[in-house]
Amino acid sequence: MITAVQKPFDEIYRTIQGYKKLLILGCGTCVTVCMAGGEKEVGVLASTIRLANQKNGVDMEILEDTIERQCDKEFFDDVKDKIQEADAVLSTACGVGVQYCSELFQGKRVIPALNTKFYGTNLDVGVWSERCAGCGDCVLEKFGGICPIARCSKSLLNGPCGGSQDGKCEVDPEIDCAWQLIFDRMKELNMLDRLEENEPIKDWSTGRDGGPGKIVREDMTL
Amino acid sequence: MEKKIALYCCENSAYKAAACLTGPELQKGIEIIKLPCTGKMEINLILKTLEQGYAGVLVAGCPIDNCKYIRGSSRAEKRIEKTRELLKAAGIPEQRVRMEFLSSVDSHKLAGAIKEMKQELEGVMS
Amino acid sequence: MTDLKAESNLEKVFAAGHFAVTAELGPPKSADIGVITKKADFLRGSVDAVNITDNQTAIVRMSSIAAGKLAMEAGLEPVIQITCRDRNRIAIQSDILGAYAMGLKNILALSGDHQVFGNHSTCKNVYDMDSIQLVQAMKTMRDDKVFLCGDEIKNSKKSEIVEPKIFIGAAANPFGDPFEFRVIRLAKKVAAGADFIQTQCIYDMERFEEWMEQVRERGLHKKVKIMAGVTPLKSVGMAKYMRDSVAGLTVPDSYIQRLQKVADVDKKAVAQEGIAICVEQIKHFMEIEGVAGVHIMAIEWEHRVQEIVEKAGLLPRPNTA
Repeated sequence: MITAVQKPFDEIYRTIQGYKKLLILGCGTCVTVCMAGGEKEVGVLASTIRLANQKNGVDMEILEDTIERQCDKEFFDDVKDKIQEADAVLSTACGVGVQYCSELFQGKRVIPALNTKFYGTNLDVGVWSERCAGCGDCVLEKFGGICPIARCSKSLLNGPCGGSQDGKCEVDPEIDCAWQLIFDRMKELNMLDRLEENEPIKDWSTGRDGGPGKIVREDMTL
Repeated sequence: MEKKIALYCCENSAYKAAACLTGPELQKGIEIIKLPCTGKMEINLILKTLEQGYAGVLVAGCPIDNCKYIRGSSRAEKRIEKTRELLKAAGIPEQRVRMEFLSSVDSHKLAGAIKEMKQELEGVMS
Repeated sequence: MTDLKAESNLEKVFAAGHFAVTAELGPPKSADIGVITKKADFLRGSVDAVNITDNQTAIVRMSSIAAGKLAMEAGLEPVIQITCRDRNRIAIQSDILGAYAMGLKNILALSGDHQVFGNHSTCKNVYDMDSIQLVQAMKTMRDDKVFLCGDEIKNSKKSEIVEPKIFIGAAANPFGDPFEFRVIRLAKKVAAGADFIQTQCIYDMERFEEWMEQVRERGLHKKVKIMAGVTPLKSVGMAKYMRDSVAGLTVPDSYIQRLQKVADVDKKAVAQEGIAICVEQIKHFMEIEGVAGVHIMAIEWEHRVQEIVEKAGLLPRPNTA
């Protein structure tokens, strides 16, 4: 899923000043799962802002709502009126949702409450870890299902650098060395000889380096 | 003090201790709410309590290593800590929210915590 | 003697069967040419070539190619270093052409320390290629005479092909993890086209011998010239620091004890003992089958290199002109 974390409160508080009627809009999908922008988090954020406004004598009406997702048009139908009425929307969706809300409601100020982080997995309660870099040309088959592009700090494709120690990355001891993981996995799979082949230089144009992406399924368009 | 402190008590420990709080001084300005476990406390609930005008929120439950539901107290501890951080970031005195760990016979300890909190809030809420 | 690929001094020294000697020179963190000429004065005549580092530890320094050219004018043969951290394939191929055009014939490919270690940790990470792909790129340009995209290396349709004839180097770390993979990684660099290899600095001679055995088993020592890396220990503190803080590096207790013993008597004599250890190591390397040279990394201690090389019995350096 897409993971995100909430921006520091003072940053959010600063960006919503001056609006009389604020709608805090949550998202029920990825950001709910990573506990950053779902209904519960919207509630906490709304209460905190109200308490702060009370203390600072700021007059602001705060509405709260949460829709299934902010990256699909149809889910905005239920909150269309609320959005129109509000002076501004504080969206707790990921960067995609914030932008889409802005696109669908031309002229409406939409402010992000989150910092979108990465495509990752939920390892354990309260712990998420990056797994995919969206390179557009998946090479997982070659590396035993472990991505060197996303999980190696240098995106190396031919083995570890000299900074791999005790299975950890030189950049941060919390980061597993992707190449240690790949080596161990390929050994388990009896495929170590595959790692002796030299992986050629990558075509990065299939991802973000080739420009903002777009997918069109001709067989599905109406 | 007109405003009250909301005293959220775990029914297995603090609620029993609170029953022994005698004296008008202690009973004044306190509203007791019973919980099955402090693990039931959510950040949302604490903030909503403050929004409704309560001076403070005191969450009282079993000690961390003696919670009837094993992890309830420790979950509550983390949530109260997080709430205090949020309040601080919003410029609101974090002393308005606190947690106490005690057993059912610790009325004295509970009374002490209430007294302390009332004093702190007087300075802070004036 | 095989045909020379680049005709650099270093290549000729190897080709003639001599035990090669290289050292390292860190360019200035400013535009001060004096830093280079001063270090060149110490190293000239004692070594066959000198590595010019490329923004080592991600700290901004004068570029390796510029500093290399200045070092060449000061009488040294440089080994230019190119890391993959800061430049994409366009910049790297461009730099290779430029380096060769200026007479710089040895180029060493490195992954490069991550920017988190340096003084500009908020920068964008490049790593368009890794060090093995960089070695491959240099070989492609030199031997296939084409750029990575396949275009011939000539200025226009009617022009001559003028390809960079580089002597290609790569690094090896006999001690990094996973240990079993280290020789495979060396084999990949050889397959990619490396002509010479320099290792990270060695203190654990036993472990190095184990690695060399694996290297010889695969016949890699015959395909590539391996230079053992060494860094003289200046003090007990330095020895302990290397042991405790540098990833993958072990310093045997015997060395630390030796230095400590000397330090207990006379602190000023420790450096000399460190040099003695270094000289012993070099002599030991000369005995190991498959080790074709030594790479002395005496950072900020360049003025002691001549002494080390002399005591190891490696002076004068061969004249390949």
